[in-house]
Amino acid sequence: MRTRILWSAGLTFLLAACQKEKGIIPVNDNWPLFDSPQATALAPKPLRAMEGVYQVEEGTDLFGGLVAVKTNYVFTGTDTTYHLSAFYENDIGWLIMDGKRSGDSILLKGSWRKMVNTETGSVRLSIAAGNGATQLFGPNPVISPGGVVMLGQYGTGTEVPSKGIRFSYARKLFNGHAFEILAHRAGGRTSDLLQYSENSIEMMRNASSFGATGIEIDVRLTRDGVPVLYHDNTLNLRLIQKNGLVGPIDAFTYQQLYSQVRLIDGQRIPMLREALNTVVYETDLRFVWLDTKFEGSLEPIRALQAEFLQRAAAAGRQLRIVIGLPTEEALNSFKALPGYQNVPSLCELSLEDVDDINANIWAPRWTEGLQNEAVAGVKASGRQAFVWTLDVPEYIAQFSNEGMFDGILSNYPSLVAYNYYVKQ
Amino acid sequence: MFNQLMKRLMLSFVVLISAQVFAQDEPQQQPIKQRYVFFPHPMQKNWHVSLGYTLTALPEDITEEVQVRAPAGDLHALRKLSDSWQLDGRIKFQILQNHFSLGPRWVKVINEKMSMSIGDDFAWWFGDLNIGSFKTQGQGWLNYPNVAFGYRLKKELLLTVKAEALIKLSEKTRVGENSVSKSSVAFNGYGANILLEQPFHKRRSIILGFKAQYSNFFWQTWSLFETFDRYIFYPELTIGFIL
Repeated sequence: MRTRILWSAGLTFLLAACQKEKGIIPVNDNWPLFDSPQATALAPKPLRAMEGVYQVEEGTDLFGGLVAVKTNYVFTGTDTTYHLSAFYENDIGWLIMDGKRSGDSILLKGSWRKMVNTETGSVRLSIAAGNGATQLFGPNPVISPGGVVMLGQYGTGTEVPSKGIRFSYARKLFNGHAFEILAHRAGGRTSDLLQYSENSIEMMRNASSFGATGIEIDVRLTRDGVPVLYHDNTLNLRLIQKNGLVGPIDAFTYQQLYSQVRLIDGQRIPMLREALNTVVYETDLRFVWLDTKFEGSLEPIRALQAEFLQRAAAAGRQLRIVIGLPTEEALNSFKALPGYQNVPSLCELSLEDVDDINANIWAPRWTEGLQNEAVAGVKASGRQAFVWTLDVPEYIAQFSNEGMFDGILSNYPSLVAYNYYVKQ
Repeated sequence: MFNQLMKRLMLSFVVLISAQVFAQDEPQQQPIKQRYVFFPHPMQKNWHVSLGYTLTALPEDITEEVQVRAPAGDLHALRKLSDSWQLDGRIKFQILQNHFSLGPRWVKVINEKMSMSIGDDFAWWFGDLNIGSFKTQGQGWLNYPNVAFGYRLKKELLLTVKAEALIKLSEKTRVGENSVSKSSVAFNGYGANILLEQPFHKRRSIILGFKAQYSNFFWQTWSLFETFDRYIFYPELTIGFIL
């Protein structure tokens, strides 16, 4: 009897310790005033005029002392949707909001997320006429410190927002030097528990709302030579829903992947063509880093790179698409391309290799340190230097403030954006 | 999270204490001739030492496609201080990254079959990966308050159920010329162990154990620089021989 009790206790103890991690809890985004017919669409102009660094006067527990507020948009065929994102330092947080006009006021509704864990919640903000809305609706809004004040509440999880927020405009976003904020795997890893799977079309559409100015995506070839976006070498339950297919992704044709495989969030594995089409025509992203994850000819992705650079130029987009070269094998494949020295590329290898292929960008791993001297040398030769994949908040701050890199690749573009935009 | 841990500890405690209540009238426990390093019981010899390894499956959330299952050597020594007090020292080593822990434990015999201990281990880990594009170093202090219950299933088969909290005291990493230090004391997770010790060959005993750790930091993953502040499951297998 005692033995049974003891075994039961032990098993209970172990099973209790092996519980599955909780996922993201949906937020309570019900706000009757915002969703009422009196609230109408807000033009992009006042939204853009709101951009800036805001002092957090109430709500510092969640948002810290400063937030960097930035607009972004997604164009979906017939309609352009604008969002207002706020990036802050605490727990690698972001807040993404939609805006509406209600009378002479502006309403902002959205949700926040702590990227270090799974905490999330909703936010309701308003800018009254006397708190800057009148100015924002004006023909040429110029905002001075304290000229716009956002007032409202936030809640955690499903609770109705009740904790106070007061953001007061402090200054313009820093724009002192060209800098790329690059989102890893099109916006973040699947393990970051975002709403969308990594390397997916929806993640790309939302990358700039997470603070990105550009994206890095992983390219592999299917058995029939179609470039697709997928990080791992094999189909596995880390990235896709259970379907019975196992093995290397290049063992399957694109049609097999299209018809039988779904990413964790239910989307299909995208073709590179779909991805670049989305970037060019649906987002405001200005940089794409094609990370080559396969061995073999780079002709298929070079052809798409050339095609979509032309399309972007025709559409009036200032878009750069570079072929990333992480390995010696990829470098050798790149050298087999006709006129490779004129093909836009990013090389993760040595500085000699960068010179050899005339790469536009040198991209060392962040664990090699700041390397200011080497980066200065690269810049002096007319190239750029990016660093990958930097996620630790303290090191993001150090690389941002003490480093000379022209871009940072991160799973947390919101934190890179915060560190860049709040500079003075 | 801390409340959940306390609830689980209380549940086990209540069940185990209930069990021992049934045995209140039984005689005091006989000395154990074999050596052990986990079983919470007064020692007959001054030293009990084991050598083996631990194998931890690192979670996909951190390692992604690469499933890292690197074993760590495990040298474990128990020093008798008195009938009730022992010093528990353990070195887990992977050469490039290592973990040293040392702490006192108080042991108490409950009845013929059962005994328990309460301990508190302080640990220091360090790693140095100046290899290729990794020019990184890391070190940190951890604290593991723990409670263990032992049960003699048979005369020579010793079962230990051990619960421990993981408290992160400090961490320092260096990348190139830059470094980051954190020294805030923070509850970091918990672990539940179940271990068997029994004679194997001649005077040697074997240890077989499983640990379910649920934490947001694990010393073997320091070089991955993961930033999650959420509790992730680390299953660990322990195999060792008592010398």
